[in-house]
Amino acid sequence: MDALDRKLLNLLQEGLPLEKDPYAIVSRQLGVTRSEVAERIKRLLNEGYIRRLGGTFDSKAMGYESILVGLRASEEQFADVARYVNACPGVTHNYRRSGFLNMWFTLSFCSSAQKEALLQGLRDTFALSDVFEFPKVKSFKLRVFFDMEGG
Amino acid sequence: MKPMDAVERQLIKALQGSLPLAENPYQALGERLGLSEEELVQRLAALKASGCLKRIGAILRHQQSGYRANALAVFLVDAAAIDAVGQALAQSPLVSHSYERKAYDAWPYNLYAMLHSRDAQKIDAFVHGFAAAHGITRFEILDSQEELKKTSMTYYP
Repeated sequence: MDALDRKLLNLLQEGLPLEKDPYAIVSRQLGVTRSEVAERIKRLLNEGYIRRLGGTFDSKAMGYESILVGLRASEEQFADVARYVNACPGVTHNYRRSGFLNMWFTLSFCSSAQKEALLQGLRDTFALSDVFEFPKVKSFKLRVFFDMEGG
Repeated sequence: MKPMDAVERQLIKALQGSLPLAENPYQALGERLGLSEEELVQRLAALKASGCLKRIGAILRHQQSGYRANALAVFLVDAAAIDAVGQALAQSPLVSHSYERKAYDAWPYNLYAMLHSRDAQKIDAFVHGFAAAHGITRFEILDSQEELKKTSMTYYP
């Protein structure tokens, strides 16, 4: 990655203009040609720096609720619990973490019955006693931005 | 949420993936959906105005770009102070997400933050310093040890 890639990645994280010919607008901001912008984006996608260049949606506006769930799974059952959780399409992120609750995932759902089905399924299938729902009470920040030119 | 027409659904579905690799991605996407570039841009503006679409942008594999240290920090903060402390926490560039969340007797933490850095020690130093500065004695740093799943939400599978 060179300096222009870094600048481009910062710009792309902020979002493309929702206007006609967006790469032409970006190319003027960067002082390069439109083909150069398109080529670099293609390369950054191919090389895996960009996971996806697409839409980010507000799940609440889309009619979904989301919660964070933390649970404790023993080492023997950890992989099976992870497979069970990951198979649920509403689960978008799942991490093994240090600490008493060692598996944390986010779940989006449009009816609480969907949420209950997953959580009850986990408790019943794996006899888990520590499964906690952590709904948001208040939001202080949501800004996912990885500064490529510093940080 | 207002009902959506078929084209809007198709558009949302398409935007959940990546834009076409083209010099003008909106024109290319419009062609796929049977819309002119003008119509596509109007649809995007409408989705944005309705609050459904936050942006069209890049989601990075941030670990690959050097942000290898990722942690969830949880704090136990007095209910009376949580707004001020949460707002202070949000100021840090290391913090991407910060929420007050429901607490339990067995897990009493009520303030959560996701932190990212190129350097795990930076996260550690920030969290300890922040806790000390706000008189927080109970907190934990839950390191991201393994990514078990990471994907974007699929709204119309």
